[in-house]
Amino acid sequence: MTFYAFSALFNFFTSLGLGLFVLVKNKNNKTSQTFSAFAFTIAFWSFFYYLWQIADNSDSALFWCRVLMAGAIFIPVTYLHFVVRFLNIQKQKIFLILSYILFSLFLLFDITPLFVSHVEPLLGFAFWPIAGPIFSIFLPIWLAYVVYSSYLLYQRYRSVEGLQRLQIRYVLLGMILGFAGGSTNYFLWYYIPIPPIFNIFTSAYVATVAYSIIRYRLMDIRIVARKIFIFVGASVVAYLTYYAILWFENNLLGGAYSSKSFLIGVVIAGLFVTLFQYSSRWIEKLANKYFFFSLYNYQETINRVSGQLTHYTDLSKINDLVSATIKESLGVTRVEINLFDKNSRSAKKDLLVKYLQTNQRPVVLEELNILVNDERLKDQRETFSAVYEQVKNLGASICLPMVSNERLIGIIILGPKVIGDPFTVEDLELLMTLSNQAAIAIDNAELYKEVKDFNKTLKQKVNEQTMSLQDKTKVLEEQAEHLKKLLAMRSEFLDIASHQLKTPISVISGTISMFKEGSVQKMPVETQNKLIDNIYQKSLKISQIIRDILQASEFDTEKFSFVEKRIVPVDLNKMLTDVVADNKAFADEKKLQLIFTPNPANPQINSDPDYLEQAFFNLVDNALKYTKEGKVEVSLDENPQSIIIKVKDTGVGIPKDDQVRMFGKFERAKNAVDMYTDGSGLGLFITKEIIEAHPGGTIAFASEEGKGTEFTITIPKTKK
Amino acid sequence: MAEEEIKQVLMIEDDPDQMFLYKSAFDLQKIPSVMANGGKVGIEQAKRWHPKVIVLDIVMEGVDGEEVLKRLKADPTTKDIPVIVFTNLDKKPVKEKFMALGATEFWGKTELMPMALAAKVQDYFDRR
Repeated sequence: MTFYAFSALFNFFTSLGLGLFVLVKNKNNKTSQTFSAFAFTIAFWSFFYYLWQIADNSDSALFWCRVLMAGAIFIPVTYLHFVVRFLNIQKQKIFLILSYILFSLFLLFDITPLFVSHVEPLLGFAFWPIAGPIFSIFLPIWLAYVVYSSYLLYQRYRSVEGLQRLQIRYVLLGMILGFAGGSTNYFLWYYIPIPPIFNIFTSAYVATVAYSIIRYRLMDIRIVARKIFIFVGASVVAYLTYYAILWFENNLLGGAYSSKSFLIGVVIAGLFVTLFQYSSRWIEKLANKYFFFSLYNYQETINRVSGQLTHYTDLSKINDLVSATIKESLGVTRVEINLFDKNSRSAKKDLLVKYLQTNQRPVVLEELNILVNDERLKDQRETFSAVYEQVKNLGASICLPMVSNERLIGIIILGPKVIGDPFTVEDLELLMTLSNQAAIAIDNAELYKEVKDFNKTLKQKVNEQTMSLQDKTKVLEEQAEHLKKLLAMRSEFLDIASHQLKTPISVISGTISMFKEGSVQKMPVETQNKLIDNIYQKSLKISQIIRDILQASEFDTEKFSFVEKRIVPVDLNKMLTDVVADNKAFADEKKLQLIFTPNPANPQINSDPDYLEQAFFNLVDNALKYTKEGKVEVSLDENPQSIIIKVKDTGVGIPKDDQVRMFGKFERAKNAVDMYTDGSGLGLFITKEIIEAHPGGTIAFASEEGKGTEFTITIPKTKK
Repeated sequence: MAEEEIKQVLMIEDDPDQMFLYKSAFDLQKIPSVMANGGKVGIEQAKRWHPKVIVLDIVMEGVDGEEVLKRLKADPTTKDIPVIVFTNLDKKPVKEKFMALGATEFWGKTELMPMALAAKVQDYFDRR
């Protein structure tokens, strides 16, 4: 077989193979379909080229020539069609249809000698076609189409960046090589003595397109290509080994069927199996290394990182690990992990966020660019444009959603790769896996943190509560003690109050009962009158006691204080004179002197007159009650700061031991009880409350048992 | 020298108005009565007159009712005299205390009217 026949067969198989694979893998993709059509056209041409090369007579050679030209005719139009589809160029439909019609016309001519005139031996070729007149029209058109299509590719190549650029680069390169190589066929048609030595380069496009597919996700069928590569590689190894063994056995062991061969063959078989396994793996590694480096590495990376991620509960550690991993594996310039604040609302409105939320796939800048320009997605163009702009402004090449429990918890932003390469499918798969792992780990870490925080807070609160419980218990105990005291005091108060009230009541009810029985009427008149008078006095007494009790309870609730608007300037001379006058009758009864000398200066004080008078009255009344003989003197003095009122008596005095308690409720000195069993013990208490209700007011006494007592009231002067 | 015991009641009370009231009642019933003004006097009178029954107030100046009762019961000459505690401090704990101290009866002044008291005293006279 000649080299040219071989090259044709080679071209046939490669084009057919590629066309088939592209079609099988992506039969619905228009780009794949047109590419396959293109590839099949070339395959068709190549196959009949081969047949023509091995033809042994001129008739069959001519026939094959015409058939192969049928294929060749459609190469440019399928090429154009593919390019149009690949580049997504619009408005070419009519042109394409016309092109197809045009080339179909040429096809018609192909049957005639106007196209392929005849075959003749040339330059070592037995049967070379010679151009007919129509061919001369055809050829420039053929070239024009090829150039035009290539130009379109070139134009796009110039205008885009990144992934598509690289894709186009390799496709274009291959096509140019291929067409250039294939075009070397045409020289001989015009007797130009250059053989089609570069015909084999037709397959260059196969190689470059394949590479583009593998490397740059062109038509995305690398996995299959890889498998083929490995298979082919292994087959080659097996093939070579087979022939090596055969040669070895034939030449050194006396033939493949000699007994020596059979024996050695056993060992060889074993060796072969082992070596074949090794070599297969080596071929796989090779495949991975050159085209799928990422895949091999990525699996390892993902496994390693997943394991690590599950161990970390610290958010910052997780972030560091993820960033580092991405940087290492992909060689990106920048990794940014943005977590959404759970409470943030603004994030939800973000267009990019929304986009990621709906799609939950990585957003690749270049892809977005393609999507923006894709005619078929015209109605979403605005969204794509907006998102594209946003991503671009972020300086990101990829935005990865971090999804946990179907919830978008954050975004990972990646800058471009350091080497400028685009992101491959494996890259994206790795990133998706990583980002999902990260999302779960982060979610868990946050949960963990929440639980930790919650535990901490809980502990704190428990401590607080425990402490405050202890404090509270103490307070409660104190309060209970206090309450007990109060209750004791209250019951004491009630006891005394009831006793105080019952005493006069018993006299009244006792006397009345005797009236009812008719007993009183039998008594002497004086007795009757006395009894009647008693009743009267006792009923008055009851009123007084009740008044005392009520007043004491008034002072009971809170610290007693004056009502603002009842405070008026008080004429003290007048008040004290009145108080003395009120007590005159009592004093006379006991044959005591009661004196008050008004102060000429007549100092005034701001106070509530009713209460103040009450206080004075209590003191004078007390003084009179507890004096057997002598006098009670009331005086009114002042100094620059205060008013001073004194009530001095020559009474029984207050025993030293009792002096401390005097102002307490119901407190009565022993000797007072002796003197005046009816005393409620509230008088001084009430007086003290009233005096102390004045800002800075005080009441004190000096007393000696048997000698008398002097009470001193001091009230600071205030401006109203 | 037959001990001619005059049956009389001793009332130990310090409120003059009450004294007057109950005296009037005793007088009306023709019950001989001795009024003692206060605890100290009361004990003296008790020892002197050996009354048939003593009516004892609690709240008094100087020696109060409790003290009086204790002393009466401590003294062999007076411990057998029945004592009616007659007071305005008529509460259960007080009653219990005085009963435990040896009082025969305990009455509140708002409970037992003067004539009823007189009738009770008469009972004591009649019983012995």
